[in-house]
Amino acid sequence: MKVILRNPKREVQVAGGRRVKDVLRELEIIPETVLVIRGDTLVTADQMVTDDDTIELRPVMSGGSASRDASCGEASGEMIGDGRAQPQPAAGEASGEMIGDGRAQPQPAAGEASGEMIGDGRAQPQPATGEASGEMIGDAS
Amino acid sequence: MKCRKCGRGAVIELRRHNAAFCEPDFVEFFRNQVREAIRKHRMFTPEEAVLVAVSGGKDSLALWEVLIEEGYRTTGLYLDLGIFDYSIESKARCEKFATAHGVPLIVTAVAEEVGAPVPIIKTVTRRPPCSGCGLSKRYLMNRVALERGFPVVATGHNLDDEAATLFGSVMHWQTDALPRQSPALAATHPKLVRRVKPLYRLSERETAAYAFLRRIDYIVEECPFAAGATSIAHKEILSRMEEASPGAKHNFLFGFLDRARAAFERVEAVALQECARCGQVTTGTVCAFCKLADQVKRAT
Repeated sequence: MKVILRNPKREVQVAGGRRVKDVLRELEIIPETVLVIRGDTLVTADQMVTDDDTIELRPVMSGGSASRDASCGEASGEMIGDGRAQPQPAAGEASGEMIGDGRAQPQPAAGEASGEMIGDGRAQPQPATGEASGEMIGDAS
Repeated sequence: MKCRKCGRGAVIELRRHNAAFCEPDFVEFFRNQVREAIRKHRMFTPEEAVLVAVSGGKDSLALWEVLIEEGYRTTGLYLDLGIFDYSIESKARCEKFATAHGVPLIVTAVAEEVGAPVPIIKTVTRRPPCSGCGLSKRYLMNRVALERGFPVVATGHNLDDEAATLFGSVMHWQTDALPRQSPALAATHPKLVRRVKPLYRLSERETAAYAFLRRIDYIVEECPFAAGATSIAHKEILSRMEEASPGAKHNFLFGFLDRARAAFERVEAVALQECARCGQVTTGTVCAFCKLADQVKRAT
């Protein structure tokens, strides 16, 4: 089967009759870094490909300054519009937002391991269902 | 593999969500994530005019398409970096998109504003090309928005971009950069417009898949100066972690935003003032953009 690769654009021939993930493994490509395109649609890693197939492995990674914010372009040490305070998320919706009274936490005594928890270890309040910004849809396996 | 919602054949698997989707359900999932980002961070309202910074790549054009489909009033801003064929082709993609969707596009050439295109700036400053490029883009996005009366600029930063930026900041313990990393930066000065990232909940692969499935003609080729960029190396490291542990990037970024970022906020706000030369906002007397333009002028 024919596999089209990008950046630079090139073609390689590999054996078909197996799953897409096996082709990716042979080519040492991390599935997360490409779209697998067959014809006008995408195929998942568990799908079979045949010797007659042509698939394109299109990289999804972009970089450099195209979408950088803090990691590039800040080397001068001078900011343009980055010294601003952050807006707060809608009330009560951030899962990690402090809902308590804002009192300072106890500080570790001098000489104690800084990484050790000295605080009260109480569980944080949980956000209402579906409102946790960091919540994923399912359980990543 | 079956779609998690309807049971039909899936076109994409999202391991971090332990889910797979067919095309229509993935498109809906994608738009829901954008809606949630806009709602949660009050990025903009349907009444506000949004300036969308577009590069011709998958992220910014996918963002623009979603905002148009959602009924927002948008105008594109393409900053012509003057990077050889890459800029010519990426500009053509933006113009084609704007024409096809009947939306306005503003084109501003970096060379006209700074005095030279990015390849020359790179030579003059002797710094990585992303440095002068990023500086120029942030400055021009804000200035164009101000001059044209846009209250907000939306950029196509995705989850991978944000996780890689965070990774870079943490690797160097740039504690001053950490509180500035946010899906929404407020207008804390009359001459600063709001800057928002409605795609921050979506991975790079998801934006690429959306752009492909929506038949958006984006530039697949990479910026020739991106090769070897530190941010790319960080993305590769994070992708390996993601492969071994799906959800790693998501947990890294969202854990920071939800539980760690506030700890790095400064007690005293940074003093902002207007540049003595151009009037844009800076922390010094003359802004970094004017200094860059001076440097280019002296050398060319």
